[in-house]
Amino acid sequence: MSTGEENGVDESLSPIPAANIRAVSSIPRWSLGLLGFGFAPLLVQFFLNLWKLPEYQFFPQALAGAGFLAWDRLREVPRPMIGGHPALGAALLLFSFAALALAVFIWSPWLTIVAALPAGIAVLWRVGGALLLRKMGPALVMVLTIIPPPIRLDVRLGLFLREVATTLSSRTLDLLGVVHCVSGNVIELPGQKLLVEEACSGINSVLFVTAFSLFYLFWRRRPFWCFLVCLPSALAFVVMGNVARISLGAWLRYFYQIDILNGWQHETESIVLVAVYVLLVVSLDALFPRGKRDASQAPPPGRETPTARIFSPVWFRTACCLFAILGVLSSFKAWEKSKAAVEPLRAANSSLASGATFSLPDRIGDWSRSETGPPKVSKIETLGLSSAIWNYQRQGMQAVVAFDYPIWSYHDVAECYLRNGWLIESKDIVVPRNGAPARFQLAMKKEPGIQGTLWFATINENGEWVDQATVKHDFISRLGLPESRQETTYRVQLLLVGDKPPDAASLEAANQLFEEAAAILSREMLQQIRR
Amino acid sequence: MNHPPDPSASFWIKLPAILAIVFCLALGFSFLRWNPAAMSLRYQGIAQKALDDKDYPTAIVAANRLLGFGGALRNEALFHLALASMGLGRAAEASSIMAMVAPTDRPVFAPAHLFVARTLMARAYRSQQEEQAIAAQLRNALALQPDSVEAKELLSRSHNR
Repeated sequence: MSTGEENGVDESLSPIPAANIRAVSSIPRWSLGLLGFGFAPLLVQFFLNLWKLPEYQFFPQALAGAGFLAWDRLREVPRPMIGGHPALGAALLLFSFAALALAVFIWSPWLTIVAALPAGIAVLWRVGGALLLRKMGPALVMVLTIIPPPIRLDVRLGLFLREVATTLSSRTLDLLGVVHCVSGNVIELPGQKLLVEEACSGINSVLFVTAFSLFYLFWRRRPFWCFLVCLPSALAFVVMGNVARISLGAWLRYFYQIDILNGWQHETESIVLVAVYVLLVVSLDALFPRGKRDASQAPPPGRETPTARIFSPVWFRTACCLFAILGVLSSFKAWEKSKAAVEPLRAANSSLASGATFSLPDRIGDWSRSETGPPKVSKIETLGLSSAIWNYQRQGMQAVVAFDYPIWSYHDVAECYLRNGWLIESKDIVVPRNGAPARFQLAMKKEPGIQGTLWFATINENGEWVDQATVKHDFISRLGLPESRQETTYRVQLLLVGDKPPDAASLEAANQLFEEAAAILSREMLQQIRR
Repeated sequence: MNHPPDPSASFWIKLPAILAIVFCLALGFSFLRWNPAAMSLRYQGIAQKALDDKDYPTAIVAANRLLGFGGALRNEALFHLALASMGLGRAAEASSIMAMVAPTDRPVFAPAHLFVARTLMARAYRSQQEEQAIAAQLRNALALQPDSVEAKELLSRSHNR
């Protein structure tokens, strides 16, 4: 089929026959339906996953904002619309199809929404060309705010913001005369500790306030330089707001024993702070001088173009059918996954017999149990709902073995140690050849002059040690594209502490202790799981 | 669609942003003026006063903060930390920290060497090993402070025993 539409010949100046106009209005409905169906199963999964992340729980508002901006701008596009060159639309759809196929193959909800964007752009391009695409730009940017960046950049941003909030709060507490010290993300006051948690770091507020700022500035049709000023300022407001919250909380706790950093007070502060950030964005926007651009607030008069291009040629319909086939495939895969997920979900709550207990012998190799552990300052970090802890000693060495359970999905305990002031000097994966579990080995240090060596390994309820799978990444896994496995896990860890780094013999002895303890604890865990 | 009235007309809507910017600038300026040397001296005083007042939780926090500054005050911070831990009854922690600032094999921090020597000498009955440890601690103290009258006096008492 060769039409002016497809070969790019400008037919816009010739009136469209009535039959073609009907085709314009009728064909896209089912074509677009098929296209949407291609993405639907994995997109649903993407939004379900997104809802589990507190920092992205604003996504319904962001999507509503995107929809509002799209509706607002769509009214300004002259009718009938003039589609863009089909080659670009085809290229975008081809790219989107390849990305979606990969997403279905590796089961990546994240890649699906990334693939959906070029498909959406392709449709906009085909329907209304550059003009419609430009008008829909703000809505597309809004959608971008709910897509977590790859390689866990948002997690790194959260850690960075937590560090910044802790450091600046410490400086502020110095100004306020509050005696304190900082260890990782813990602010220690005499006799009490304040953990600067994720919520206090501002990561949740940063993403929401960024999305709100974008929405407000797009809605107010501000020029580009306003975005350059407003977005960093909003970020600064959020950081300072959290610094003020932490400092005020610590000050009240130190001088008046009033706790505003926990419970309902903490929740209320978060809501109030978000309201303040929103007010500050609106207020900051009011400071910008009003130029001629503001005149464009009124929608330009619609330019009636008497022609339109045929919207849905054969290749577009074919592409939509191919997308729909991917949708069928992903629906089937999702159905299979949901069947497989029923068992672990049930197991997460009840697979371990109630009152399950774990025990280790009094002697393991050269190690013997001791009642006392290492000094409190070098305590082991635990995370699961339950943790069993055993202290061992051998020739002046002290080791703590812990079994944490149950943990939902995989958790890197190194983050807990970092948060509590340990400095991680090295982190290696150890894959023994004797069938012992693959494990992480960390060399750490902490004031006052404590050297720590940590081993940890994670086992799931099928008796599979999962750390090796976690670290043996290919390129795609490193990008964090595939959905992480949702399963209940159990963690064995061993912390060896001393005032100097352990020598080779000590490391070997500790490795043996770890392997023995891991073997015993995993056996006990599997025996106590209800099948 | 009707857009809302332009808020730039109102001074009040601008006020929060103005105040926030002033607050951020003031805080940023004070952060720039933050002086770690002055702050470490301040915490040195706080730790010492807290130990004198037997306010060990405050002393621990102040000593830990002092440790964070590092540098020349590190040994003093460790010594304060050991004393405060001892005051709170954390004997194991205190002795492991004290071993860092008052080892017998080398001089590290004179007040810590003297403290250990004094503590050992306060015991009514001392083993031969403890006597040797006292002498070693005092020699270490004198190596660091050759003019220390107390170290000399304790050493002579130790020899006379």
